[in-house]
Amino acid sequence: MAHPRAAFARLFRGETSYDFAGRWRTWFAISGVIILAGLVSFGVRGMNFSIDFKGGTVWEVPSTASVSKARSVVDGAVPGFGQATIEVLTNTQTHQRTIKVAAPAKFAGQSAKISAVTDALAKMGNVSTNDVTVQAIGPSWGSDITHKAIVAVIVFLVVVSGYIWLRFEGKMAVAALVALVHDILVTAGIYSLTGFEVSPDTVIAFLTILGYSLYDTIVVFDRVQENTRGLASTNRLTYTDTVNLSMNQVLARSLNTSLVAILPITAVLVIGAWILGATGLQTFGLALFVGLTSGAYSSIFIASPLLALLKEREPRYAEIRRRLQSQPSAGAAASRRLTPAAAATGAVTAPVAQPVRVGADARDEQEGRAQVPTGDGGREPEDHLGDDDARGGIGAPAPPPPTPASASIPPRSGNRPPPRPRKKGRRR
Amino acid sequence: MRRGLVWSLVLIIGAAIVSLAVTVAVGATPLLGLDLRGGLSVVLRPQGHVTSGALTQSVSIIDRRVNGLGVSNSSVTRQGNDIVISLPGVKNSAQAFSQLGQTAQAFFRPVLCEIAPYAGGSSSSASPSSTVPSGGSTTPKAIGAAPDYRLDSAEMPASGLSPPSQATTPPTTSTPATTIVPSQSSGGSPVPVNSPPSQATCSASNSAQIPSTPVENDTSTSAVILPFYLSPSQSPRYVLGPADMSGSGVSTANVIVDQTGQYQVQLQFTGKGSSEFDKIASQRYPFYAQNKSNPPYQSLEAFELDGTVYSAPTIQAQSFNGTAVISGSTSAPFSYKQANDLAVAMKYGSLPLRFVPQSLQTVSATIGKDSLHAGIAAGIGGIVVVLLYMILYYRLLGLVVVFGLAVGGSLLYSIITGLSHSSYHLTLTLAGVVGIIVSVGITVDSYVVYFERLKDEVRAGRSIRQSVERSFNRAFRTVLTADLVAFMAALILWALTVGDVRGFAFMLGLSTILDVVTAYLFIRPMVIFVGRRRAFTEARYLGVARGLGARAATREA
Repeated sequence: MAHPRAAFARLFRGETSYDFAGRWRTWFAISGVIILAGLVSFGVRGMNFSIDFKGGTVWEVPSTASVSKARSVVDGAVPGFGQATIEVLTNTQTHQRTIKVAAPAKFAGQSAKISAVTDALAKMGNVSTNDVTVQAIGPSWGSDITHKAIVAVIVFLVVVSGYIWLRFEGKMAVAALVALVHDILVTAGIYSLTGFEVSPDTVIAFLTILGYSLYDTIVVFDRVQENTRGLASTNRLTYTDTVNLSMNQVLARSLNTSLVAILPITAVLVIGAWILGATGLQTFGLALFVGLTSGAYSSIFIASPLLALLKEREPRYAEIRRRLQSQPSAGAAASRRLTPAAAATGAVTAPVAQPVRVGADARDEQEGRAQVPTGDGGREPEDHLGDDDARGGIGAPAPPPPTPASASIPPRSGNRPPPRPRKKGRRR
Repeated sequence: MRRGLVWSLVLIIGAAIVSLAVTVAVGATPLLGLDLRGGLSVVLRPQGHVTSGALTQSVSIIDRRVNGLGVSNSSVTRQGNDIVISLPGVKNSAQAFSQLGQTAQAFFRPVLCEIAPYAGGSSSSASPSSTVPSGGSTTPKAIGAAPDYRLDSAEMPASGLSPPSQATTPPTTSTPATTIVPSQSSGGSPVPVNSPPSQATCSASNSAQIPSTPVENDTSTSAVILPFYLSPSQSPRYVLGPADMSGSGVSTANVIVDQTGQYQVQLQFTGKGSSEFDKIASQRYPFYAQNKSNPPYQSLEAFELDGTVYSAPTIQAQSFNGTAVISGSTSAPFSYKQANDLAVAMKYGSLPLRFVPQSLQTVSATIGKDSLHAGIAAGIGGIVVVLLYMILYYRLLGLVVVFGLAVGGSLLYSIITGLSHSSYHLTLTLAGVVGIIVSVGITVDSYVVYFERLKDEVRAGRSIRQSVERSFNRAFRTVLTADLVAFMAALILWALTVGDVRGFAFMLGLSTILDVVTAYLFIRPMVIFVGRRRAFTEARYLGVARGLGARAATREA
């Protein structure tokens, strides 16, 4: 963990056993602080809504004129427009100067005045009127699209939570929804804190993130569901342990997924907005970037720990926890933290293969092995991996085929002599 | 089994190659939205009470206006109650906008005369606000040709049975010619170059050079020159006096069939409309009674909607008592479409919707081009980075991703291009480009899910060969679930929002479906294939085993 490369290698080999669910207080506190800061900022500063929400008219014309020149030109065309906000935008690449004039909402819909200003600005910039970009938004338009966006979000939340409820279960739906709300609050907070402009594009981008965030969460839950099938009857791991195991199992996937989603977005942001100066791409990219990051974070650090917290309240899982905690051989709860590799092989390899592992972790795994019944006997996975291909090719698997990672724990108890913990379970 | 895999590979790669080849060969490219090529987009919202029929009628009226502008690939669509107009690459956006934002208005007007179709070129300083594009200088039809329609009472549809004339002396003081009020009030828009039409226009030798009255100058108090709606550039135009009454006097209009099997339009007037119309009829009828075989213009009353004449029937009765029938001329009876167009125009002309522009956006062509280039550059840059990462991380399997994205990309491009040129007129907007870039993440994710599953299996001691098939089934379940959620998000976005969002959602949804298809038809057979070959699994740097972390395998095997 100390060395990034080593950490990466362990991640790649599935040798991580981070305690995601157990440290929920830390994660919740971090998110709490960010959300709180966002809420305070939202209350104090509000949001920087774009013209689409407030209504108004914006012109952009390539011109080298000064702001004061532009102001007098605009005021000359339509008296009263001098109050408009006028700024100069410069493209960092081409050094092209653009004059941007923004007039308040009351002039929206007055096409004669709008075209008068357009003409004046075109003359000032010495370009044709078609080279003037005009955007005029009626005052009710913004509130309308906001309304539609909100309706879309609500419908989406209802449909998706219904789906998760059916496909998985109620508590997972709750945890996934909380993670979503978390993403909404964090993103909104960051927008308020930074003062980035919120445009309809931002809202769209935002809605997408909700889908994406859920997507990540669902992949994790899918694995949790698989791993916890029959958990209550095996009595070997607590629900929290299983969530941790599942998290570590999908960690590489989660990180890779988030990375492959964030990389193109970063490209949109960097190439599109900074270098080529397309503001449309910037608004999109920024919202997607913030949201995707938050979404990746929330599926790992919010949704899963919360699920564990919720499920541990169920009597059957509380029971397992109580029993395992009172079990002298089990030792600390940490001892049940399996690495994906260990869970996959069923037996934990000797710490030889993990030079970085030290102290507690290594010991954990040794004890972990004591926990998991090893039907494979003295099988040493690290060595066998080498033979696998050949063996698979011949089609003569001498040792009983090891069960895949996902199903490793529960089914094993089905087709083998019931292991020790199972008997305890029956005494219930 | 094995054969099935090969077939699905052949199928999808073949489909990708063929569709791309066809697209390229035809030379088709996706339609670009106006934020990528410049142009004008307007969202109009109706005010007051809105009925679906009125809205549909408004869309078709605006559609006609837009077509009159001669902008290619323009579109007028309904989104909820809003009407979204997009005019990519429009030349004069300010003028286009002023024409589009007008309220649909219907009037009954006296006919002064007919003049030749507009043949004025753009060479002269012709009015910039002409609604009629120059449609080639066909020889003008004889002025004074017999009017197309006649209007008689519902009770007596047969033309020979008009009521006996009572006022044989026409009320000369109120003939249309004398009541023309030359219009000075033209609603703030620039006054057209030509002076307001009057009786003098009828005798002007250059009548074909006089442009028709633009829609925004078509007010109730002005005299106007309007084309006939069916063929504005070919048939003679009407010179019309100020409105006698507005179209709101019509309460409803329907197509009926008379005894001889001809289509007719039956009108019902409102109470106020009925008395107004009877007043007009009592002025027009005497002219008809004078010369029934060749009724003079004074006996005609034109119905005009939104700058075009729908009908100019002869008034063949003095009083209508709230109901009238318009029939086609004996020489040219109504087709059903003609009758229906007229009925619809009269019905909805009576409840015109007033539209207020909600959002107007003009994008200069330069900025559009810049955005397009930025979008493409960003997309390519992003994809390259992602693919490099995939290859570094998964080695040969990463190359499968490269290949798979090429297949998926060709299909996506062909589909987008195909839909662009279908009746759906899909346009690719900046938001859509971002949607596609985002969907790269979704697509690559399917591979990651699969490969990580594969890793799990290999870790569990299974051979790569064994793992590839087993893990796909599990991974596919996850991919399906996740894609379903992404698709639902896209669908809901698409259904419940307006504007740019829809383009974004559309691309996202489309990519999601393609992702499922390529996952099953491409990724699965390809990975199984690669996983079976020793050459691929054990290659020194690119080997699958290396990508899956089964280092020991390569070393010790």
